[in-house]
Amino acid sequence: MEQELSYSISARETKDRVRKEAQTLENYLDTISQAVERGDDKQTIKIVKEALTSNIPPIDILEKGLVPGIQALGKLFKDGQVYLPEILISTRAMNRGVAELKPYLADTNIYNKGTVVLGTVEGDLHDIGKNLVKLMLESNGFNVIDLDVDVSADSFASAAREHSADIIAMSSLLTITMTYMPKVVEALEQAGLKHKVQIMIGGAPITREFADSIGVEGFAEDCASAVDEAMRLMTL
Amino acid sequence: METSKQRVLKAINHIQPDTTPVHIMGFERVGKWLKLFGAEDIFELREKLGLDLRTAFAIYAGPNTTRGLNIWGSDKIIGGYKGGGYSQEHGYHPLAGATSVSDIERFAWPDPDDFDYETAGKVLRTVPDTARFIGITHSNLGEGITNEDAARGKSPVISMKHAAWLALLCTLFELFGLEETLIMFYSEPKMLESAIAHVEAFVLEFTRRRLEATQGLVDIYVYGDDFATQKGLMISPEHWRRFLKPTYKKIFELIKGYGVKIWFHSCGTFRPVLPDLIDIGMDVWETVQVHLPGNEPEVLKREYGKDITFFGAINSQHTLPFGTTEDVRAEVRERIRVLGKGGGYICGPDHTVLPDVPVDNVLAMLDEARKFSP
Repeated sequence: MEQELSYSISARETKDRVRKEAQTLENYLDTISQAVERGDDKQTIKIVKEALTSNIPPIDILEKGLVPGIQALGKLFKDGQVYLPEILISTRAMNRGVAELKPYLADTNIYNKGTVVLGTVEGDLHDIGKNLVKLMLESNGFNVIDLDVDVSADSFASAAREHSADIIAMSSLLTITMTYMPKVVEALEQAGLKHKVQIMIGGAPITREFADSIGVEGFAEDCASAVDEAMRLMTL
Repeated sequence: METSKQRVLKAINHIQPDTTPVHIMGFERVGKWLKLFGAEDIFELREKLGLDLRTAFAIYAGPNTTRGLNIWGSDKIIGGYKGGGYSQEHGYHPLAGATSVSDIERFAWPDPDDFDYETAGKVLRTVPDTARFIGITHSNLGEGITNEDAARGKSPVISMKHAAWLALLCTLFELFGLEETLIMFYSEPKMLESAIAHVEAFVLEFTRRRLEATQGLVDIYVYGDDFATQKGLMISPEHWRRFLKPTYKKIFELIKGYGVKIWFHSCGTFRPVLPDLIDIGMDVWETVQVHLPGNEPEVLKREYGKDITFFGAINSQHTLPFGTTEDVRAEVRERIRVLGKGGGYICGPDHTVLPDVPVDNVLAMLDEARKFSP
């Protein structure tokens, strides 16, 4: 009887402990997501550190804590409920959280969603939209090779080969430079890469119709949609 | 026939003019246009094209131009594709390293004494029958360029290369860098406010002197900023109201005090704060990119048509570069029918005319606006 009692107490204790741990795990991950969504970098770093001390697996902290935070924010941005400063402080909080995890994830490729070669096309020096796309893609686990602005068709093609790109992402702000995009498509074709990569485009004058007209599968209107589109292209 | 001045003032006062006034704000690689129309400078080009508005620039004669910088100490050049558009030459932002309000205080802010405000008046006196405006764009002196040349926008490759416009948010972008500025709305609001106060003080004094020097000569003052994308505001309406609106309001009040109309440039779509701009006195809104969500012409005219005049609205991303002259004419007729009903519309491209726009399309736009009455 006494033994039974003590057994049941200890069983209850174990059950409580497990439940508490699960709660703790969930709490930590939720708190991290919320901190990222709010763009609170100090809180993000603090809770990531605490979560690590509590032996929560680093990969869970990344994939179930940090990433859902930035995804929630991406959705708010697409719905017009948050703006560029919120995107920037959240991606910064995310990056600071990832920096805390990096020593524990040395053997893990955290940018495993795919490799994107990104750039603004030749003749065009605009980089604001392209930089936002880069921030959002990286925050969502893509490996981004940023070729910067004024990128020639040959540079796109050789970077695609060198980095075994999954996606080529091109930006243009001007009607006079969007016409360069088909030249990049042609260069990829000539390099025998067209069937190996998916191409996506964006920028002020760019529309889905224009993408269709130059034989490009991917198009996105903004940096949050670019993540969805890259995810979609990876499944094709 | 009405004079250009009568036509523009009627449109702005929401009275039906004899024909819809026409204007073009910017040409990229304007050299081609100068040559084609045998014009010496931008001032004369507008005359040769028969535009209804004319402007002359204030002229910067301070030390920055010779250092390859604009008045803010940034290396922004006018001219974002190679050889044209807007871009940072080397991505240099003079306040990127600032860490405190005192760094902002110590910065070499532009000096209103470094400008010639008078020559613009002299130039504008020569065109009494046109609607005359001045604004927040200036030109520069350079080798072989007189003050009068600079005021008229001659040799734009030299006189306009390091020209700046005195916007607020865009100036902060030049000073701190775009991402840094946007983050500062959260991380360093005090530094941001300090920089805003300095930009504001300079712009107010610059504007006051421009208005003083052209009293009785100008009908319109052109101010502007860029805070919106093709999808919406870059910053929240709350941030916009807290950080930007108070400065716009002070500048607008100053201009109104001279009995001059306020013409405000902003690209993109920003319906949540459009009523704010109307409240503080905007008379004309420039760009009106009607292909963007929230900028539908019928909706704009119905909601805001009695309060403001629309300038632009002819699509410079599709119709002007890629359409036929007939496409352009059809679009002009449609805009005049909707936006120009009872005045309230000045026809023109909804952004700078880029080099891919056929000359015939621009001429078709002007011609159709002049002859079409709804």
